[in-house]
Amino acid sequence: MGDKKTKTVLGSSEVDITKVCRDIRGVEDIVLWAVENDWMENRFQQFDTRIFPFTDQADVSEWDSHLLDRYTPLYCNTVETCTDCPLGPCNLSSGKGVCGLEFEGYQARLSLRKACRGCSTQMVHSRELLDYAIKVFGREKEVSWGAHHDASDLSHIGLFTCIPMGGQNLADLDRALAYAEAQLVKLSSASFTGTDAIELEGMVFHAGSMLMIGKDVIELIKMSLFGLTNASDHEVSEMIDWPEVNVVGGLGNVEPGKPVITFMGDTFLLAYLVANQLKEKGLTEKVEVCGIGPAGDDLARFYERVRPLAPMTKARKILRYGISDVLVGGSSCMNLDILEDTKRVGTRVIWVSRDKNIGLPDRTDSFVDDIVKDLVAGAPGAWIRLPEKAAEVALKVLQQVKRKGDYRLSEEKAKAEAKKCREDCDLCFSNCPNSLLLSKAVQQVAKEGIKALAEVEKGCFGCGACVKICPENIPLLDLIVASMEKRAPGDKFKLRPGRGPLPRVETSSWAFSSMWGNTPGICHLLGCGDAKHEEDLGWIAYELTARNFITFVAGCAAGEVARHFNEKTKKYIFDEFGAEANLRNLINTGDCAACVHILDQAMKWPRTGAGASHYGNFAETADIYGNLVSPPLLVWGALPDRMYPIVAAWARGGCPVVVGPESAFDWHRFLPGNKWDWKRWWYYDSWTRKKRPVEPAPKHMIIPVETREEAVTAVTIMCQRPVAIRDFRLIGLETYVEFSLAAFGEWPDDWPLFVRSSWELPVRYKAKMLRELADKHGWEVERLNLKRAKHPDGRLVDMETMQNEFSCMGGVYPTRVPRMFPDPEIRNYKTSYEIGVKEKKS
Amino acid sequence: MSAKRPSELATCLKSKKRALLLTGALCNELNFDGKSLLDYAAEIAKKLKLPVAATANTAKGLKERGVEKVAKKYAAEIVDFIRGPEWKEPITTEKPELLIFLGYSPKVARGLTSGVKGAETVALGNVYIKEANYSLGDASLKQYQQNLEQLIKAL
Repeated sequence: MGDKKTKTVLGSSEVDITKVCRDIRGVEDIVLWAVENDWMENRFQQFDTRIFPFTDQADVSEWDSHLLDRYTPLYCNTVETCTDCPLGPCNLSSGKGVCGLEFEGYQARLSLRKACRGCSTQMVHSRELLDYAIKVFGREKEVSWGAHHDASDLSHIGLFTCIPMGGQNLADLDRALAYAEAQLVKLSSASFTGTDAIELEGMVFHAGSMLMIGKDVIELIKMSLFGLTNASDHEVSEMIDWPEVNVVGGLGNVEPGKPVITFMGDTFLLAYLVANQLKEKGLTEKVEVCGIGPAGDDLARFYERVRPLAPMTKARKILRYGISDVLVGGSSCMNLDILEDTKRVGTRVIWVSRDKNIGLPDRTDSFVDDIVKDLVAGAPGAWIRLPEKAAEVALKVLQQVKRKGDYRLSEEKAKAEAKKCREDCDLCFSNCPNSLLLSKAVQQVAKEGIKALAEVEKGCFGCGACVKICPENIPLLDLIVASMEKRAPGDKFKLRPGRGPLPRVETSSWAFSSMWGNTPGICHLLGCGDAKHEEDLGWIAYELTARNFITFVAGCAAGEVARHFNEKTKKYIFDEFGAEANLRNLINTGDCAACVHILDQAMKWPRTGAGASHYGNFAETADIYGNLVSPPLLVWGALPDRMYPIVAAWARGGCPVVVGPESAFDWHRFLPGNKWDWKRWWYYDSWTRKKRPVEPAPKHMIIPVETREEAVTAVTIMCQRPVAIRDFRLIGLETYVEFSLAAFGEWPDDWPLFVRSSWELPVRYKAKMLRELADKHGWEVERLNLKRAKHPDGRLVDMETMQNEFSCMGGVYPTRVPRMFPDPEIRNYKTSYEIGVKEKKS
Repeated sequence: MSAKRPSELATCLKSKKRALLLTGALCNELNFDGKSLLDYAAEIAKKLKLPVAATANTAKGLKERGVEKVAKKYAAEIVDFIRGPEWKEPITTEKPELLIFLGYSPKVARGLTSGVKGAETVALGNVYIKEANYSLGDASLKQYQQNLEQLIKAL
């Protein structure tokens, strides 16, 4: 330990950091910083708060195991035979494997592998940008979350490493990312050696948390060193319309005749370098800069002339459509056969990823002019691993390359191809991941022309499964792409660029408006591109926001939401709603990496509401947050591996996740909760230390749905929490019932599970609800009030007993983690509640 | 399991006393020359007097078609309830021994049937689902319609 300081003073209390941290060696400075800058004396006196700097999964297992106990993993698309070691293969359907691995354990291993794969795609990108930043700016270069962020603002970096929020530099980020990378290696190893299903699923959660650190790192660099929008540097009063809705996207907004350069995937750095050169050379009006996937979302935060085109899931169709003269591509959340499509249309590819190639010659060490000459002459692309050189080449090629020829099928050719379609085949329909009725549409093309494919095209990801299966070798993807020509001129939307983080000063301002019954809830929206119905995400965002939800969106979902146009008001959705973190507002935080701001701001509640410091303190933070707020996340559309750990990170924080539609059912593991099984639904009353039953809230932790109507209904009821107060519960229940009636024509079957008192029944439906509680569920009703209620154990009890024994009305402080009991025997402080309880007993 | 002919499946369906029909999103999307998949779902439910867990947005349409015991449910919830030690889902008093999936895309049907533990499964789609205990075989839409007609006739 040496001479390092290990004690400090917190108000009138002395804190010995060797007592709050298991192994203080090497982390004395950051633990002392957290205690001195973010701990509150009252909290310290009442609770057994600890710090786990550079947390291992096992340090958080007390919380993870609670979640997995209530929400038992449900495995789908299971694999029975393990081939992980040379002693196998072992068929696990009939018993244990050689190593003792059981069927469930193997499914959990596969779940962890999927999470690690997804996490790796982010880590690679974060590491690339961090290494570049260190090279250019030096390790001591400061980074900042913004002027309004202070020590109490949460980041996943602080949450898991304890590295301070203020005064960070690139060396700190290197330390944080190295920790996350090392954890990822451990998790990857465990995905081949672990045997306990619950432990492995806890590691899936951990992979999600590590992914969030990667996202924190990359966002900090982008905002601090490359000038991306950062709301924390602006006044809260500006946020209602900041950033302005000034980015137009879609194929219809790309001006014909101008050279087009498109950035695709995680190519932020190249986009930044090229955009800056265009500005310096005065070329911004002469060149169209487009973005696919995260590149488009990033560009929107510093280059308003960008044209975001599509999410990554629909990238292939855009490439084959042939709008781009130059494509700058890099690693991303999805693998595509890029050259197959770009060669057909003459688009020159500059591949910039450092971790993998796509079959292009490595021209990193060639002279710029030689590369340009070859590309202009017709070479399909070049792999260039030096960002500055790649940017220079891209700009020069863009100004010189002339593409010729027709890239799309003509009407006549399309009809001729369509005529080959067999009447009684439908293999394309059977093999389409979105179950698009392609065969019927193609048969119509033969009669009506290419316009017959318009609807199918909107829902097509361009995966090409139909092409591979067609017995007549009809170029179905070409037909679909040809039909885009009809839609392209009208393919337009308006986007509010991402704003970056939300400081606590802003989120605190809506604490009251959200708590007191003016909103049914808060919803986070993510997704990698819309599903078979392109309008789904916009519809979902509109329905929720118009109902007074506080709606957050990030990543490719933001671009899809932006397409929503209200015919009545003649406004795009981002023009229709404000952008501050408040009711009936729609907040875009930025690209895929910027989704971390949504979770970071959400998990600040324990600090705001309960004075709990988050530094190195995930379990306590999640316990408070999960019980108090933890808004649901809705993930919609095609779901690449990266989304798996993202969802895990949300779920670990206690945020229930709804995934859909078709792609979600491909997932390997869900975390449903059985609402009828009362044994699962309990909390400790932390004052009495006894378990008390609560309503099933949130109903599920990860659940798939089929339709957008199911999605909004599920999201609404999953906003309910046992500790939520009357008005919030009332409006939530009302919205739940109304969504259900509108979409399904009936009341949800589980609404009585969420009733605790007459005061929490929506006024509009109160009489009907009371009648039904009396007639069908055995409650006792007197006029417009509940007189006696059905306790989950079957007893008919008076309302006072119900309040005393059930759920968390009347100031009950709930926890699922025994360590979180306040401890009056050890601490020298007693709450007025405890004193009152003792007096009452005596 | 190998693919079953409609008549074989009809025998299987009739032999089970505690069956539950689940109707998915495709019921509202697939049309066969004026007759929708939801129409077939309603006919199967009526002929076998089955309770129906109407998932996606199929509840309204089934009620309009005169199906009596139908309630809005979520597909994944039913799969979860089935594996529980006690069946408390009010749609049926006893735990179903057979789940019949109709109107689910192959991807969704595979996901759902592979997750079912504690009951047998039947997939009535136009693609063979190997994860189900019983499944119709691969078929074009026209053949699929014929399969459904034959199945209903044999019930």
